[in-house]
Parts: sequence; C-alpha cells; structure tokens
Amino acid sequence: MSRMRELIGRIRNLPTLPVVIAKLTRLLADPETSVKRVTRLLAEDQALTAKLLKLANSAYYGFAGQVASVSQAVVMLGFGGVRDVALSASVIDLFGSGGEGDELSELFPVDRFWEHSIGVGVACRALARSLRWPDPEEAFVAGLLHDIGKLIMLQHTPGDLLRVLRLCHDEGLTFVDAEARCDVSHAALGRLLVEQWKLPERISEPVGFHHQVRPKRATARVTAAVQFADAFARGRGVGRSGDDFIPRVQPEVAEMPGIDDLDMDVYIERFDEEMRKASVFLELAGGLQGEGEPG
Amino acid sequence: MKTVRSADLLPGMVLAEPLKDLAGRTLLKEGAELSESYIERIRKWGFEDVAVQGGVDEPQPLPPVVGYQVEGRSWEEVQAEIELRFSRSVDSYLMMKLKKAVLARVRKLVELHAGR
Repeated sequence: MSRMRELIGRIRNLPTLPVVIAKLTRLLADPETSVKRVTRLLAEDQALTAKLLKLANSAYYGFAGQVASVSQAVVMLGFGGVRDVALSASVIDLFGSGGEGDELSELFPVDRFWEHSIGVGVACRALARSLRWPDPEEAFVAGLLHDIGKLIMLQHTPGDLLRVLRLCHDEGLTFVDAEARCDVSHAALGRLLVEQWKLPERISEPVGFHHQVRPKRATARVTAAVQFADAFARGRGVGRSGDDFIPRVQPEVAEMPGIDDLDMDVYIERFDEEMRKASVFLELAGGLQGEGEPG
Repeated sequence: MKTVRSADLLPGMVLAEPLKDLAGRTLLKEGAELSESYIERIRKWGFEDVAVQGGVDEPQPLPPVVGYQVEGRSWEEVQAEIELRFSRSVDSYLMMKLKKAVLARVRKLVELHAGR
C-alpha cells in the first residue's frame, strides 16, 4: 500500500463544516429556493450569521455598512455569494490560529498560512473579474482553500509535515518537491477533505490538482487560475505556506489567454488594493479580535 | 512655503521655487505640480530636499503595505528576498515577467517608506 493511502487511512475524524453550510449548499441547488428559506436557515447559526454580516459589510465586498440583515446580504451578494462568504468564514474558523513556540509553528506559522491563502483567493478573484468569468466569488473560495491539505497534515500527521518543512528549510526544496521525497501530498489530502464536505468539483478540482492541472477537465480553467494565483501571491511576498519558493508553473497555464497577456504592473496594483480590503479575512483568521469596523 | 525631504514628497505638492541643476538651468519651474514621475526624477537627480508651497501640513499616512515587508529595511535586503523567491522559477517566462513587475513595485514602496 502506498504511503499516501496509508496516511489517508489513518486520518479519521476530518473536521466538519457547520451543519448550516451543508444545508445551505443543498438549499441553493434547489431552483425553488427563496430568500425567506435562506434567512430562516441561517437563523439557526447566529455566530455564522454575525461573521457573514461582518464580511458582507467589509470594504472587500464594497457594500460598507449597508448590509444589515441576511435577506439584504442575499439581495446584494446573491445566493451563491452568501454561501461562498459563509463557507470562507467557516473554514477559517474551523482551523483556528495554531500554537506557538515549537519548531512546527516556527516553520509553519498558521497566521502566515492564512495570509497566503487569502492572497491566492484575492488573486484568483481579481483574475476571474478581469477575464469576466461568471463567478469570481467561487474563484476566491477555490484559492482560499487550495492548500487546506496542509492544515490536515498539521492536525493529523504533524510528523510528516515537519519532515517536509525541514527538507524545505535545510535543502532549499519547494514544498511540492519535498513532499515527493516523503511520498505525501497536501493536494490529495485537501481534495479528500473538500470531497467529504461535498463541495462542488469547481472547488475540489483546484484543491486536488493545482500543482498538476488536468487540462481536459471542465474545471481546468479555475485550476489553472489557482496555480497562477499561488505563484503570484508567493512572488508578491504575501504570507507563507511552508517554503520560500514559487512552485513550477506549467507552460500550458502560463500560455493561457488572460494569463499570458496579463499586464503585470496593472494586475499588481489592483491586487494590492484588493488585498488591503481583504484584511477583514485576516481578522477572522486571527480569531475575530474586537468588533472591527465595517469599511 | 516649507521644505520637504525628497523621500517625503507626495504627488500633488507644488514647487515653491524652481529646481535648477549645477549649471543653473531650470529643471522644473516654480509652480509645477508634482506627479509620481516628477518625484522619481527629483530623487534621481539627487536633490535632498525641495521647497514646496503650503503651510506645515503633515504628509498623508501611507496605506498598509501588502506583501514583502519594506518598513525599516534597505532596498538591498528586500531585493535579496525577492531574488530568493524567484530563484527556482528562472526558466518560466511568465514568472520572470512577474519578477520584473514585483521588483519595480516593491522598490517604489521601499522608497516611499524610507525616512518615515
């Protein structure tokens, strides 16, 4: 049995999303869904509702201070938008902010991990918007979750993660190359998790294959965007996800229309601006310190 | 009129005196409104401080920095970090294009934050 499969077999009790998120996903798949039903569902989870409203009122979504209720959030963000925002808040919440003082937190600080992940989400959304894709918020979620498997390693197989991190640190390997030596894969683990969460393929494919895009998949475009956004966020120096390098960008990703001809100066400026507005997500990752102000 | 260090110049400031080179030739006239590219040029020419119109207004606070830490660091230090990041990507045309843009952007931020 391969090491990876053994590892997956060892992992039980993967973290679960709040029940409301699963119900919300099911509800939104139903064309008959009404604002009222979504509102009633979210009322079951007041903590989540509070976070949803905090995010919806942040500068990132551009409705500063105008979203007073869930029904208004649905009107302004759409059903899909509400689900994506609630999902983002839940996932960040689920894993907390990590420990401190030991070698593992030294080599893999969780707050920097989230900064990187948020950066990849922001870069994906900016790309999706500039290419006029129909669902930029979903691109954000795919980017936000792309490395979630590393948190599974941190929680369930910290010894494996530490070996990978030491290889990166001591031998200057990229995270992916170090993983190959240890026969583990954060991408495969992440995919396992989001599949268990029953998230759509538009999320699970990028999580599972952002280092090796499968070009024939219907979701290849988002996966390629995540690969590029990952490289971009690292190149821009945003956060840290275990190593100090940019992983390989596949030529077919680099040559994709929209990426190949990207005006980098303009894109960086837009990214920086959006990233500043996304500080509300970093606050969530830091454990919702204080109330924070909308806007 | 007030004297502002070149590192602290901001777009929109207006020159209170003409800027002249060592031969006395006017480089920028009195009353010129400073754009980013003018400010860059003033720094390149090596002027340490410049007289601008207006009272004693404090310069606007800079927006929070995204990405590489630039506050309190020299350009060489930040540049070395960027070089390391891209050191495994030299065969990617796209990443080299990104690196060029990142270097330009971050250098500007380092200069903006120098002396604050």
